[in-house]
Amino acid sequence: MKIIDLLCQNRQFHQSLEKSRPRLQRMARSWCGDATLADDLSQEALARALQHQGQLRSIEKFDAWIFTILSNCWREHLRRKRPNVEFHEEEHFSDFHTPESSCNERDVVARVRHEVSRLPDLQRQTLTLVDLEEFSYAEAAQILDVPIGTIMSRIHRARSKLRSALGDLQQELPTPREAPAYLRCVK
Amino acid sequence: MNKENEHIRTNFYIDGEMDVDEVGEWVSEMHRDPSLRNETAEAQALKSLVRHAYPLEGEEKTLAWSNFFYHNRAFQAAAIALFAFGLGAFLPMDMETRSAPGDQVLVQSSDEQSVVIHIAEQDPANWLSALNKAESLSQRNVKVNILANSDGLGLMRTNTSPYANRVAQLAQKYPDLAFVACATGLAKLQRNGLDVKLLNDVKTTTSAIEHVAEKVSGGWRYLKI
Repeated sequence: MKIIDLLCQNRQFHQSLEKSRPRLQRMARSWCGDATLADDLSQEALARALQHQGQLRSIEKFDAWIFTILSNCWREHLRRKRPNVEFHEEEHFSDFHTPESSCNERDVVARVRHEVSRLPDLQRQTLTLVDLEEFSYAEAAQILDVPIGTIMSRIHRARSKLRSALGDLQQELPTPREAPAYLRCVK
Repeated sequence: MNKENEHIRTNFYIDGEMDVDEVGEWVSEMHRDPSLRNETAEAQALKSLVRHAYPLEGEEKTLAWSNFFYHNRAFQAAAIALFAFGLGAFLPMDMETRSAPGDQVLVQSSDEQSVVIHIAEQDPANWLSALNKAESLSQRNVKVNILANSDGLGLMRTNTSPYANRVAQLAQKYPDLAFVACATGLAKLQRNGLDVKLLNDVKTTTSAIEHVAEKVSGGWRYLKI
């Protein structure tokens, strides 16, 4: 029975690994802003996951585990690229140039990507883990190895910046007062 | 509550970091305070913007929809109604209904009387609640769509639904009650090797989010269960 359990777990692991590939690519793309580099980072994360499969204690923890590996790959890439830069909360701004940098301002998706790419690395990483993968604050804290309060403040600062940068998009939206109510409840 | 705290609490709300009681308090507060409702709607829209800016492989259609969304005023209005009134008006009603089921009366305040009930969770109790709500509305001649995507599709699949008979009975009894499954979600399940045969009375829609946007822009109300 133990052998069968192990085989099942192994199969489940490989299925989870395969399913995570596009999600890792998307996350890496949001961090680095470059499709080729994102592909390299996600491949590196998958290779490491295969090598260190034994470290995963429970398949339920797979998502947090694989994104922790991706985060480590990204951090190592930045260290190689910028060996003398310390990672602080605010000072460390992204310096990569993306195709979105020269985007047509009318293209909302490109504008959002551009503004996300301008966030400091650590805020961008935190925001995308929560917004794209819907990790809880506790899971994001585990992945990035920081206290949960740090996650809260990064999310707050990242969204404040995006709100300012993309405010014109939202100003075009009608306010709730202008919309009619169709149903209400009474006792 | 100062502005910074309000922003942080709004983040808790839209990121699902509040417990049930906190959500109840927040929604009640939104109901009373239009500026908080607006703030929450904006934060939710911002989160949606980020999500739609980074589609997964094969989700280019969503990306195209996202661009369309932000250049189309009808859909903008639909979204604000969805986020602001959907949360600000419906959730309190739903919570109060749970605490005092016999006391609630839905009052029509426009010519439209149609509701989309959205289920996305793998939770039979949740599905039962959706069916009960749909029946209650149908009895008042409200037009209802029960829309399922993601894990909510279990309600409408032959080999997973614990309420197949109830679905058939409701569909037969109320012609204006429709059961709608998200084809995108079904395709995902199929790719994972799952059987996606639907109950007889279930129709499909290309995408759940587009279905909601279309209905809300047509004057329907939205209720997430």
